[in-house]
Amino acid sequence: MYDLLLQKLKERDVVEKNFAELFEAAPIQNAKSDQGTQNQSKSLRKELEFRDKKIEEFNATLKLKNKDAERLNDEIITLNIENNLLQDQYDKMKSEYDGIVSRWLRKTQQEADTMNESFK
Amino acid sequence: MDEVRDRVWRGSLNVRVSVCPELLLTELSESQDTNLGFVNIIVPRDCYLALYLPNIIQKLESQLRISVSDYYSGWWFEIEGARMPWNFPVGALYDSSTGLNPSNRSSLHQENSVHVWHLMLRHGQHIPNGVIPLKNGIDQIREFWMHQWKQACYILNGSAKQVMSLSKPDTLTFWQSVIHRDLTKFEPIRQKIIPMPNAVRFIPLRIHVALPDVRLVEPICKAVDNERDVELGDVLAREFPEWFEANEESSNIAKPVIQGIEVPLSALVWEVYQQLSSFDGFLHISLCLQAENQTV
Amino acid sequence: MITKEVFELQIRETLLPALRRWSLCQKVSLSDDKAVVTAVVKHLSLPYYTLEIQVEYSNIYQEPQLIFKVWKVQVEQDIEVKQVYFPPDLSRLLNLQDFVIRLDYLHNLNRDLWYSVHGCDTNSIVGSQLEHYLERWASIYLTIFDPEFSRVFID
Repeated sequence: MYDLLLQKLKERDVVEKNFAELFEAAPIQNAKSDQGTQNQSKSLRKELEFRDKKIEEFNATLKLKNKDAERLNDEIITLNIENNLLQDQYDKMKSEYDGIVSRWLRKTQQEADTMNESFK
Repeated sequence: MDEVRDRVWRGSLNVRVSVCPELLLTELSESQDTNLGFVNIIVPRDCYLALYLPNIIQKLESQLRISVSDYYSGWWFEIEGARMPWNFPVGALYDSSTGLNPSNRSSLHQENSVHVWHLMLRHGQHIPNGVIPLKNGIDQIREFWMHQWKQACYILNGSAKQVMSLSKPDTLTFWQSVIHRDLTKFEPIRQKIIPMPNAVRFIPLRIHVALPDVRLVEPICKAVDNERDVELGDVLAREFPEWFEANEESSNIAKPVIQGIEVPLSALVWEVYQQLSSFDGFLHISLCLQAENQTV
Repeated sequence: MITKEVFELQIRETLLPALRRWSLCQKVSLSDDKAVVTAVVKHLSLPYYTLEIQVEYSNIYQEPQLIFKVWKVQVEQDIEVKQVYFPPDLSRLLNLQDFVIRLDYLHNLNRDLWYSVHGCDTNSIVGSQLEHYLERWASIYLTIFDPEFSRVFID
């Protein structure tokens, strides 16, 4: 069994380690967070992160505002329709009113003329 | 030096770690240059992937759009879009996530073929479910690893005493030998924990199943049962009766892959443990499912 | 040390009723295979936190295994959201005493992450007498969530 396992491991390594020299052997380092160096690229990256975040926030706000705009648009359309209806009603009522007023004026004029006639 | 143990320890994989595009500087992710956004490294099979995070990230740092404040926290690996836990040996993760079939691979291999495992490196505020968050860097990894040994020791000996009573220098050397990849320092300490064959309580086994769901099975396995040495096939037939029939090796749907090789079902579990167990004290077995008419 | 059979028996006979009597316990259930107990428990003093606790049998240690998750209710945009929470300092939230608690238990079914209470020393803490084993175990381990837990056994 031992020899069999060894043989299989050798075969495995032939496959898995082929061209391993093209790959970098990476030592394990205990890297603690970098606290000292505030060099320029680090602060630029921080600025970049900040801007990315702002863009995200702006995008979210934009989305909300777009929704609001849509809603307001719909409201405007609804109000316009209502307004048109009301305008029509108003026109109708106005012409009825004008008609009533001119009929009344004619009647009053007739009465005045008749009275004037009887005084002669 | 035991040649099998040596090969197990020095087993390695060629890995290409690519950075998730959304982490790259815009001009790099949009550029046509195909040499950007990844590193090619050799990772030992018998190690934790997370230990290589600082090395990988430092190599890629200049290409990232975020500033790196911590080389462990918030980072994780993915394979083909699926998150990869870091708390198992690299080799076991590779074997189970790729469904490695060693015989297939051998027959396909040619002199000029390069064998590469592609992983993606990701970063975010919220680590995906199933990945242990690394809040304390390498110390946390070391504690986790130590805890695996305590568990393995308990399984082997019925008590964690052998690990708990290791001297301070020994404990330190044990971990350092993993970091510096020194089997000559690792093995003697390991031998202090492993019991004599006739004193083995149970054998620390972890079986990685990928289908139908990703699952981990930790069976109870003795070295000797009813005065008979327990074989690999016995344990597998007991835990996965639908896949393994005792004594019917050739017609099985699945086969056990350990350290990247197929191990015969007739192999004695205790022997396999001694030869092929990983640096965390456990014997990791991946089950490779094969199509029915596949020739072995 | 306790066998699986005794464990499952004592779950039904002692643990489940005890959890139901526990004032902090909001919900308790038993898995289909009768081997895992899950309980949702209020935090002792903080209203926004709940604990999801599971007790199952560990084959490795041949002891009960205690795992838990912390849930926190947060209000986001006027909506109450309940999320899994990993506090930076667990000892501020729970009565940890000398227990070793690690965030390293990957649940086999859900593949999500739970805190686990390590049981290497369970045997010496709980004592080996099988009778009332789970009762003794619970009155020790569940004090993590409620120092007065053992009251449920007195009444």
